Amino acid sequence: MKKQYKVGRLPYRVIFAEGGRNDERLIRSSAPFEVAVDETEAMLFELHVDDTFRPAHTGAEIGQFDCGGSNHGVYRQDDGTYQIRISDVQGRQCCLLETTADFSAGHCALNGNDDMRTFGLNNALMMMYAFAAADRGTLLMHASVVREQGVGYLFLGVSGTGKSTHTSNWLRYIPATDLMNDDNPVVRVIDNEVVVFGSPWSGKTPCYRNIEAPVGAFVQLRQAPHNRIRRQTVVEAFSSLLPSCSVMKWDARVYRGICDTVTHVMEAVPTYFLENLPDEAAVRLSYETIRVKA
Amino acid sequence: MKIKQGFELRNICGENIIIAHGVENIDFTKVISLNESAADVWNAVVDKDFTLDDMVAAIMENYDIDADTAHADCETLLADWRKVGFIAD
Repeated sequence: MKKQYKVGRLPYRVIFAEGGRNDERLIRSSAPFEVAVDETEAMLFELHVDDTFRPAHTGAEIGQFDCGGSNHGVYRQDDGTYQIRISDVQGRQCCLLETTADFSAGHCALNGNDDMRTFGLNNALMMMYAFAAADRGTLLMHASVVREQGVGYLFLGVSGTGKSTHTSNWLRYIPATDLMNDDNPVVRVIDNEVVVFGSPWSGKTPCYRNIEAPVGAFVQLRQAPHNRIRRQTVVEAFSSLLPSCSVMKWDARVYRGICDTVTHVMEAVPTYFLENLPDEAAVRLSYETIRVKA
Repeated sequence: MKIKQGFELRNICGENIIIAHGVENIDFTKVISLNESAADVWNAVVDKDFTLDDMVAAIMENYDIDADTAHADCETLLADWRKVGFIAD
């Protein structure tokens, strides 16, 4: 069964093997992004989901990487083909993904119960998306995003810095704001404009919205016993934005593409550093400072 | 000596920033910026075998500075680059 989706205006296809136990119900969060299958349209990538798939060879180990508490074991063959073993936070293997070097075509086998399969397939899709699109002005970021007056504001920080707390306080205290995504929005530079898109991936918060908005600002958060905000220097902004993107440092195409896009983002949109308490005053300060005035 | 593979100088919003990629640089998480003269030296010696004298020559070509000062500055710069891990002998 073929399913086609469009995220951040980029179309991709997921092909579930006939007769297997996997189907689109494993990725319900993708439903708002489903579009009609169009065989004539060029895809960002195609991912085949087939539990009988086994790689012919395993490549050399690149490393084991922690991705929000779950482990991704990455292996690469001489021709650039990747194998990625995705485990969940309990260390159970959920997905074995093999993909071409450019992430345009992948195969994956899922394992375990439905929750594990959902987790494994979503992680495989995020990687296929982020790394296929890495040289197309596209970033899959780790951020919580609010929208106010049609403009998107992204809050950055490692897990536990209070991104979701800060954005939930925006929704509470600033009129007519809504949450675009709480964990993994897509950010793209399109005709020199920086645009943020909702995605099928949003961490613990079910917020899978097929919406987009021009980006007004990025804000790096840090918990503090006070509220204080300032613009970041170029080096600070780069050091905030780059680690907030899904990236593979060892892959020159991906890494250069993402550095290029981050650079374009920095040229177009201001970035701030907010030391904050989890309170209304922090939101007022951040809103008054960063909002794009009509 | 050489600048190790995978380090790349980029101009990002007017700043000279070194980014690192490649399997050998997976654990390199620093963001290093260079001032204009250090960036000139970098561009003169990157992708080739070089000596301290090559660095000094690059500085003296672009700046009105005496040889002793240029030499001392380049020694400091090279020590910094070694400390950060840019240099392979």
